Amino acid sequence: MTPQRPATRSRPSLARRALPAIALTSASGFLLSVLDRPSTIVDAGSETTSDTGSTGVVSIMPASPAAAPASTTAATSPTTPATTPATVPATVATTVPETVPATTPPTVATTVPATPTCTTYNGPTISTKWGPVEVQASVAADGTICWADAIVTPDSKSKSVQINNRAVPVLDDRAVAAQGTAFDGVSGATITSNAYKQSLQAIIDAVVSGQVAG
Amino acid sequence: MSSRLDAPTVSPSGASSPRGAAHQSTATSRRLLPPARRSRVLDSDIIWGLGAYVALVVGIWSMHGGLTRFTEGVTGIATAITQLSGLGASAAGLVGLLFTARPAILERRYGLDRLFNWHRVLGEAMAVLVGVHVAAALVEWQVDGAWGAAIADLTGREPYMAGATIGALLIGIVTVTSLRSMRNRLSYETWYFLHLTAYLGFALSFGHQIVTGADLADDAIARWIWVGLHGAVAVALIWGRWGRVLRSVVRPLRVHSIEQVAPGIVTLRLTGRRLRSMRGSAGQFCFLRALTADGWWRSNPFSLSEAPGEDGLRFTIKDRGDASQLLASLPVGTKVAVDGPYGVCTPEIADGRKVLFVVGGVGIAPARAMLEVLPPSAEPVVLYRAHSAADLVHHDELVALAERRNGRVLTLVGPSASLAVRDPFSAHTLRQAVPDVAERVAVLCGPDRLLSAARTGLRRAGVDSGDMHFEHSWW
Repeated sequence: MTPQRPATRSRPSLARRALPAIALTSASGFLLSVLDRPSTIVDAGSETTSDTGSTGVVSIMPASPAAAPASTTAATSPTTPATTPATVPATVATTVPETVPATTPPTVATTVPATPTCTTYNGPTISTKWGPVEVQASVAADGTICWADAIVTPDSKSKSVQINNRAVPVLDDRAVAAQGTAFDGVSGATITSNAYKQSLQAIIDAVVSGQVAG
Repeated sequence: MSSRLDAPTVSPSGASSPRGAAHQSTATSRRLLPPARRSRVLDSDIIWGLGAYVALVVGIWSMHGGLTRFTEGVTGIATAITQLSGLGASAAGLVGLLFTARPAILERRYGLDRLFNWHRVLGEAMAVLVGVHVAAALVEWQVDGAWGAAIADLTGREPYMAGATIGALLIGIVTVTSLRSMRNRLSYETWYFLHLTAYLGFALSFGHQIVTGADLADDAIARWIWVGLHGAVAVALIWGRWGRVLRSVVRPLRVHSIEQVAPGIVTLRLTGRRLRSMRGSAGQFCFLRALTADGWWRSNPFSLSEAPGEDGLRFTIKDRGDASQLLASLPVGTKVAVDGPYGVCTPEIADGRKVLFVVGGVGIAPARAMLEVLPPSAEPVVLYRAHSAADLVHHDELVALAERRNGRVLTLVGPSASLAVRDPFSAHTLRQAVPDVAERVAVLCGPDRLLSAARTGLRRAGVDSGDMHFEHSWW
């Protein structure tokens, strides 16, 4: 019942014996400070206000395509599709890059006066660890996203509802701004963000490949 | 019963007034410590407790998804596995930690060596479950193969996940350094201090269980059960570990004498007033911590080589490294903190039957102590294996003690290769040396190689494995 250690003649010191453990603990503390960058729900909420000024809860409203970014809706005529400045479809983008959003609406408006080319589609339901996510989006035949909204989000838990109430409007805006799924997810709602993108991408793919009738 | 002194008296005060309270009726003039308490825990209690615990963990899991998630595709399956492995890792770790608190109720029943071996098994199980948990969580979080994003989320973007990541890394490192091959390359204290960082890892991972874990984040009852379990184990640890260390340091014993009994082997006798309030039996061992500048931070186990009495505790210490060297060179009067005694190889296991000791090297110490208090009906036979005649310790004491109890001492000396019999512990050899071997209770003390050889031989010679008592060294 004695420890089986090789006999060492040198006097062992506490410092030497404890050094690996102290080094490991310090490294852990350092790594913790580097890694720990939790993006809390508060961040998502503040992003919402700074991005678009929208007021939190957006009710599920697949009928009204008014959920375009605030900055552009002010300048554009109501219910026009393709109001986004950044990546407007090729036909428009060649003439109007980003600088003059005020001139864009007329050109588009003339092409689509009464019948908006946007059609509303429901994306596939993506199941996540927190629950299902389904995106409804209004997309033009060329893939332009007029508006997008998550009509199904995880709601089995109060925390999910709280998170999604803040995250979904941000995602809606970002999807339109990015005209696709190449946008940053909302921190703190990563799983919903990823599922949102997946559902939205399925709609875009289907429209662009012509699998669904425009 | 012999009325003579079985062991040389050292402390005159101990010999003065024999009191009826002395345990066993060995009628020595030494006043022995009251025997270590026996635990009333039964195997069935453990099985029931364990069953309830597993049911609790699986119950928490199944109430929040559980098996139904297996119908929800890859993500669902990954979710279910993440949850179950996470809960399981935590649950195994908690019990493992509980064992290091050395709860008396379990230690008195199963022995510290079993508790530490279970601690090891549970620690390894926890490490494997943590691995499964991490892998399943990544599968669950990635969407369309976006592994980078999943890793970023799970290593810090989600709240408390940075701590969980580092906790998992620490537990991994501790597990690797505890593997036999790694363990043997580290000094005991280096390994021990590294091992302590597992507490940090466990604590760091607690936050994400409560906040991110789907089982606990949204179920107040499950959460409070979980927090309660962790709190209970923390209390047990503080009481069982720190409390014991504190008590041993506050009331230390002192070095009474140190005698060299063989080359590299000394006996250390400790005395002190605290002995009057201690319990202990022959065959047990204590952790000794010399309260000197270079000794206070390390504590090592040594076997009692004499039945513990109020006149002192005697340990037989072989030079096996700096800890034993330190103890062997302590000046008389040095304070030594004694934690223990521990161990369940005590004279009670004889239970009126005849006893066979199979011992190797310095493993003779506990056998020597037990011989002292065994009744003559035990007719003890001691098979004493040593590398050289010089390694035979306490030989004359052993012979005297054994003969007084109608027993004998058989020695087997020399390197294994030089022995006439190829396997000294074969059933045949054992039966020849000890014809009534099958009727005896066997007590084995020695290195693991000797233990396994002796167990095999004894089993073949007809000794029931329930009648073999031994304690593994666990480091």
